[in-house]
Amino acid sequence: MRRIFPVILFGLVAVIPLLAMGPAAAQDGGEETREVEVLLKERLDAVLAVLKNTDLSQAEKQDRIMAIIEPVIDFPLMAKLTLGRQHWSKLSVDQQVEFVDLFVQRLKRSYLDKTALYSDQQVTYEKAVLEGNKVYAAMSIMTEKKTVVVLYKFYSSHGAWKVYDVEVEGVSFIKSYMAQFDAILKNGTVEDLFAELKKPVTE
Amino acid sequence: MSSVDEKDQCMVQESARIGQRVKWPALWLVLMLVVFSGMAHGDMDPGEINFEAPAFYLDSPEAPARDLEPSAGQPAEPDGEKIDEPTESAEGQPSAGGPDGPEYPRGGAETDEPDDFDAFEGFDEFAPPEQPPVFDPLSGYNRVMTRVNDRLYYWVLKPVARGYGIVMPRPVRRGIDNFFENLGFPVRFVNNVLQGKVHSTGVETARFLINTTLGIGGLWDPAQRWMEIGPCDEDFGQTLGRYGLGGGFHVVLPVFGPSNVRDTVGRVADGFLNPVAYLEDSDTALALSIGKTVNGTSLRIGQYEAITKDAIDLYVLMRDGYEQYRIKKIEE
Repeated sequence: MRRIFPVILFGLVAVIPLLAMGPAAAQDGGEETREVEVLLKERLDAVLAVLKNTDLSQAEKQDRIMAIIEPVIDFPLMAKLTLGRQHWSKLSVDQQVEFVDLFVQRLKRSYLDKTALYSDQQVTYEKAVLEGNKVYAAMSIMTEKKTVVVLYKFYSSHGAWKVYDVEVEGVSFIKSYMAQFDAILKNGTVEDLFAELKKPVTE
Repeated sequence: MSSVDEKDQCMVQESARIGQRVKWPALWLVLMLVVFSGMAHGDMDPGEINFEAPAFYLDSPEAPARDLEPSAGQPAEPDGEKIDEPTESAEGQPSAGGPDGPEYPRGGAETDEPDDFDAFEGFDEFAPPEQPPVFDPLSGYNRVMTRVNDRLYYWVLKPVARGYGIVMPRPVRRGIDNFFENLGFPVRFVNNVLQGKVHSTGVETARFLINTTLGIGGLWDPAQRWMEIGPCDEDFGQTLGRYGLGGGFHVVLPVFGPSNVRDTVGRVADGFLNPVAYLEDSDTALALSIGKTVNGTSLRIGQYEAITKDAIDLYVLMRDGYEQYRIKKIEE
């Protein structure tokens, strides 16, 4: 084993310079993607500025962050999508209103909790891509070891771009909640779901 | 000849010392491995797998009956009217919902499409969420093991890692983490090669050479710091996935957490490329593995909590999150 390693090593040294040169392709986006890029960068830079501001209390930070992101995130739509048509249409009107309310509260708190994890890492914005009539814009957070990609998915809501889903390392908010809600509703009732949503977050 | 003997002697003594210290965790781990291997060797009740079940076949003709397809015969039903109505009401009378109601951005209640779902259906995640229900024959076991792993994290791993973190300065822990990461080179290298990833293979090789030499055995990561080349994580599960193998059903491994059939196989295969596994003394190898886990955890306290904190159904969150994450990794 030990005798093989040097051989492999030297074999590899020879090829590296050839291998390390990767193709760097850049494509130019349309007007939509540029709009979204600007929007996302503007909002997130503002959020990061709040997070970096050490003069603010935690509660103040959260209030300010919400004020910044709320106009560009379609929380009620996200609530609806997480239930999916199948379950959503089975809810009564009152239940739908209650669900949206419970879910949005939860989602906001969840988002704010996660912003607390941010500790001055470097952030870069990727080029947005057009997917059908939606635009996906990604942001990369450089942690000590690796890059975490956060993808924001936008749709055009009457001329304004709004976020309807966020993916962190390929894991979609909507999909994750969807799977959990589906699991509960398959074996339980809407009341069960509401009870779960009302439970205080533990640990 | 004699020098080899000496070395062996040395190792035995060394391992005996480490062995004492890790007796209990080791016993526990062995217990867990027994539990798991029992399962892996087919002690599972074969009756649990119902091959006739529609869920087993991804393209089952029966599956669409449960889906959200608009054409699935809804118009004639009372449901048909409901689809439009709730949309309006949820958007239109938010203030009835509670204190938060009026705050929502109301993205155009009046002019909205008749049904939001239509607008998002042609689209990957909402494109037919009618994937048939997940095939999860081990769900009973998986739920229990998810719970066990969760408790294990909070009761054992986290306190231990915390204490360790207080004793060991952060730069030292980072160094140890780098060292183990550098040892993972064979796995990453081979799987990058197997997937034909020329660029990543080069990056990995360069990283290994730089970090092993300039980084003194991998304790430092000058490749990352000065040259900004991060590791290109690939494992055999991803390689299999890349060549079209599906994940199979979900399996929660003791200690290691969420996995599936394919990735468990991959994990075993990658085990053969793990230099630690080739240590003559298995106690040392085990101690190193535990050390690696504790050390790694001490640097990442808070991440597991952040992910699981607002789980509504912890098992489903972990299962679904894991599968999404792996699909993304395989696509990359």
